[in-house]
Amino acid sequence: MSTFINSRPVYPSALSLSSVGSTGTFTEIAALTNIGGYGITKGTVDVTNHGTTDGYEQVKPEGITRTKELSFTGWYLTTNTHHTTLLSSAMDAGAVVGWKVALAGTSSNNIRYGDGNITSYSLGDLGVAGQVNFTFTLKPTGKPSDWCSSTTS
Amino acid sequence: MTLWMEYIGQYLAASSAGIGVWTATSTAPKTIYANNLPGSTASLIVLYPYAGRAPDWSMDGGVIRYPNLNIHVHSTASDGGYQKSIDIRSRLDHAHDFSYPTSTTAQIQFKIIQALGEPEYLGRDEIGRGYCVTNYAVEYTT
Repeated sequence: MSTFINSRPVYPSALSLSSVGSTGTFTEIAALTNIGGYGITKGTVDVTNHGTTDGYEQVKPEGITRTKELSFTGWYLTTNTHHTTLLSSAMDAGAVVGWKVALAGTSSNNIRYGDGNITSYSLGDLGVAGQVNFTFTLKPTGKPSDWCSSTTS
Repeated sequence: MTLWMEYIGQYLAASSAGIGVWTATSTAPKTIYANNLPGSTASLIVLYPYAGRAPDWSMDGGVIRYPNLNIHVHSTASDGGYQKSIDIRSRLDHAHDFSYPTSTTAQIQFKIIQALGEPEYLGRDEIGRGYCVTNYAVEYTT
């Protein structure tokens, strides 16, 4: 037997937001079709010196951990207040929102959540056919949770 | 060993919409088949696997397979099996994250099933039943 039987499907994963940061009550954002993957990066500084005997460079981690901006796409619903006003008004106000991404499948180490700011909101191009879509991005601020099985709210 | 499309046959039969019967009983004859069109003249469903696309592997032997599934509905109903095909689509399209067998340790996990289009009416079969076909993309791991 292969070892993938417990690998996680991507469908249906979910993004939820809280208007008062990650300690608030999360509301799932409806009609999303793509949820950006979480990511962090860390720089390094070169500490290679004359005491290096093997000729290989030596580095140490640089201080700041950078978080990837998360991007989201969905079908625009005129009946959904997140789609119509809450996302763009949170950006206008510079308000910190709570974000939570939940992977599909059983509730085991499938959730990561934290604080962030909405950094863009855009309606998709209007062609002659198809659904109206929208995109928005969120930049995490501060250290989010590790992968866990539930939030505190 | 039970084949993957036979598990999908069981999944269809488990629907509360009364799609069909996988395991015959004294009162309910089998109406869902895999890879085999029986000589029966009754309305029935047949699941045929076809190529799909190449699997993904991991270096330690994990594999995700992506076969396609061709579902034939042979029906004596006046709509030629179109409604039955819609019922099957409602059951299968974006069905996700379910495993079989359910009574013992799971041997297969279906990640997602997607309809590749709408049911297509192909006319009548050789004994006059209506004949509809729908294609699905299947993603599973074992």
